[in-house]
Amino acid sequence: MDPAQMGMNGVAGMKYNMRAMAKLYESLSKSCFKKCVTRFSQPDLSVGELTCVDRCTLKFISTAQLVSEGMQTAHEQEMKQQQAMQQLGQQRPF
Amino acid sequence: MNSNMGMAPGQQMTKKDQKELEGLVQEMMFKEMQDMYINLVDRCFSKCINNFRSRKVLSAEKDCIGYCVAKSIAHNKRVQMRFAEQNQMQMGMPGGAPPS
Repeated sequence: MDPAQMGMNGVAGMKYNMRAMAKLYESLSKSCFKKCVTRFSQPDLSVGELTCVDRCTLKFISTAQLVSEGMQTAHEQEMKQQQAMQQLGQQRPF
Repeated sequence: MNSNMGMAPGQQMTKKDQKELEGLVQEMMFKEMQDMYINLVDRCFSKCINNFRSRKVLSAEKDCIGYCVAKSIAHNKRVQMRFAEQNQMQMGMPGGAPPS
């Protein structure tokens, strides 16, 4: 998910990064609220909920990293496959 | 779906317009990749991470995320393929397989 890798440089690349950050943050906040804050009998977050939210935030960020790595791997495999198919085509002209 | 992109029949695009269009398409593609990533994180987090007794991602959760990413990408490919097929059939072009 590196804009420089995809050929986008300078301000365009930064805008791209900032947008990703903002959207990820929104997703994180929504997801952790959904997972951790389940009771509405009082206005303050309970100790359990606070702990859950802390851990949830960390796990979400770890997940984002894992997904990024997973996508990178999938992309590399796809490129390898495409290269292999191209080579096959070159070796056996019809 | 209109494949004419809004141009009158027989009309050609100027070089300048072509470049502009290419830039827009590239930007669209970047955004699409980025949105796909963000949706993946959202979806896989939602499906795989359910235990908050620890701050570390458990090994089983890590596997789940790996499978989730792979399956989502495979799902995307499949949907794209069938969608393109349907599109072709609707435009009356040969080469679309009948739905199985």
